[in-house]
Amino acid sequence: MKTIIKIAWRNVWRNRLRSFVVFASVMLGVWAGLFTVSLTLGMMDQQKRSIVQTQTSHLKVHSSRYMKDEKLINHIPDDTLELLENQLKNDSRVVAYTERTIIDGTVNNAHGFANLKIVGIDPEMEKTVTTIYERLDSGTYFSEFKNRPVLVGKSLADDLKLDVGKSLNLNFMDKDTNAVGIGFKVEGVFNSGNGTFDKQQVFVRQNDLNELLQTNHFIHEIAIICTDIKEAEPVRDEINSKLGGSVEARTWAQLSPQLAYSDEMMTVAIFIILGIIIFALAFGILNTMLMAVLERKRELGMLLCVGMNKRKVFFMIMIETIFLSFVAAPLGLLLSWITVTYFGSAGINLMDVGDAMYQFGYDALVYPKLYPYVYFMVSTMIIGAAIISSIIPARRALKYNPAEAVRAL
Amino acid sequence: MSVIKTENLRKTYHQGDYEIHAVDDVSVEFEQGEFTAVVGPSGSGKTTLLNAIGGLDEPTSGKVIINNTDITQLKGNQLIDFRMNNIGFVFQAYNLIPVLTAKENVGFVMLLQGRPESERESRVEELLAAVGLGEIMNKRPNQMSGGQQQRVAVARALAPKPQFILADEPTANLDSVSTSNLLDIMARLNKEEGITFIFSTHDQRVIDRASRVITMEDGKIISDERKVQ
Ligand SMILES: Nc1ncnc2c1ncn2[C@@H]1O[C@H](COP(=O)(O)OP(=O)(O)O)[C@@H](O)[C@H]1O
Ligand SMILES: [Mg+2]
Repeated sequence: MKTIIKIAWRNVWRNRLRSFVVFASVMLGVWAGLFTVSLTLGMMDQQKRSIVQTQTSHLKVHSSRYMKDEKLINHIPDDTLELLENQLKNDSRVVAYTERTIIDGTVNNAHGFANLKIVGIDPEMEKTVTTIYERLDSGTYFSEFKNRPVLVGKSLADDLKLDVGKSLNLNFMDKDTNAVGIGFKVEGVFNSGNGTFDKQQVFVRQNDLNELLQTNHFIHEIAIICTDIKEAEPVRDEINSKLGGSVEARTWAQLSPQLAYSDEMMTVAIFIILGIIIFALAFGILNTMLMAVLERKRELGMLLCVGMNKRKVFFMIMIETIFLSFVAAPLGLLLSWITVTYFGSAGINLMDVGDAMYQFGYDALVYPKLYPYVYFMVSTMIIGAAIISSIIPARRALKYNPAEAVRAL
Repeated sequence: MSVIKTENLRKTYHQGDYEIHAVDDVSVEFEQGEFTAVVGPSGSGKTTLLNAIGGLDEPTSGKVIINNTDITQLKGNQLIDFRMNNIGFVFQAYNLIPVLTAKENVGFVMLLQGRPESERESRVEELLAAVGLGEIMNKRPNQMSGGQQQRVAVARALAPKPQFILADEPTANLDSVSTSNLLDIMARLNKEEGITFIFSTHDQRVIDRASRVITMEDGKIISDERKVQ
């Protein structure tokens, strides 16, 4: 067996040019496949993170009535709110939560008009849950302006040609359904990474809003961050079992089903991308080895003549094929690991397509990312492909009749 | 005592509508220690006969009896093992394993036989010295001349201590110096170790050295002469 392995190994190096072509294609194939996957994963991960950090949090609680009809008066009842606050404060899985007043409104100026949600927040509380305060393109986060400051999204600011310091008219109904139209001053422009989200809401101070609504502390939404995103479900279940009926808690996956779905689809997509690449590589290797078996017809015939049995010839060809496939695979994996690690921290700027990506909710700067299971998956697939593509040439070698093989020129 | 015997051996190839009787009813015996040349024009059936005797090719009918075993009845790995333990082959085109050194090529069959390393080492070195290649035993075939490669092939054929060696036109690709060199070696091994050689050839210099000359034509033996030494 040792000799068979030795011969197989040396055979790999016999036709250097051909072997290097195979090595290069395996290495580049593995690298290209993994890099594509890492970009996709990085984008997905970033999208998920930015959606969780700016939109869904880990879970949210609304009053049951508000979920049917998003009206000002359908806020979380005061007694329930108190129970809920106590529960959240005493739950060690809950890291932070924030309370929001949310109403429908419109905005208009000389450049346009838009329907949106006006979200009243407690700026300090909000900071513990969302990262809007970090995602400012310009301006500040409720620290400079004393009089009715508002944060607007980048896409809205672009549409309405808004800028820091400019004022902006917000229109909505107060508690008694009287129309209110009042000026706010743009203090900052945020960019959540998702153009649609940025167009659909503006943030104002809860106190300003409640004053204008003539309400005191109407809370429509509580957004919660747990110690880990995996705690979202148990925390939700506990809230729903204790306060269900009056309020309903939903996790990020329920709030953004397409996000949860794309998370699942990703594994399938990765499998398909890698599968196609490895399938193509397997064909290249198969072809190379079939040629080699044909070229060495006489030599293989001679081996059969002098006493190498068919099983050994079969293994020799199989092992050679596997060697041929494996020499470069670790290099491809290593190269992928290096590039992913490097760009994973430096980021890749997809600047030219960045604007379109922003509209679809992706950041322009992508941090490629690979999970250990992807490396494991690709290694397993290469092993499988190598073994499968080694069987056909090995069987071909067995078909040789020694007398004819030796006669062959 | 005869070591190899064929009885009514036939090999018929079908080519389109007509049949080629490559070996046509050949019954012949070879004695231990003979140094036999099989001669005849190209296409007369020399290679076919040697392949049938060596169990490389299945005859259409007839028997090949080696040491009382009819090898036409052996199957698959049985036949391969029988060949490995009893018959050495030398081919016109040398057919060494290109990725192994001279030494490894010679030791290869012994390795397949599972002989221990120490036995292999000493046998291989002894044989390479006997064919005059002690100096270059770590070279690979592509670093050797044709004559050197064929001498390695002879050493390889001898390594497992076969009873006889079949050589199909072993000198066809060699120049005259290499040819006489190889013949000297084969003749010496024949005399000193009693190895039986059967080789096919066109080459008059080879025929002159043989102790027996069998002439074939159209698949039949037309003459069989033993020379008196
Ligand atoms: N595989 C084959 N198929 C058909 N005919 C063959 C085959 N091998 C050999 N022959 C024919 O058998 C005859 C004997 O061939 P061969 O034994 O090679 O002769 P030699 O070795 O004396 O030149 C030739 O006519 C050759 O064409
Ligand atoms: Mg011939």
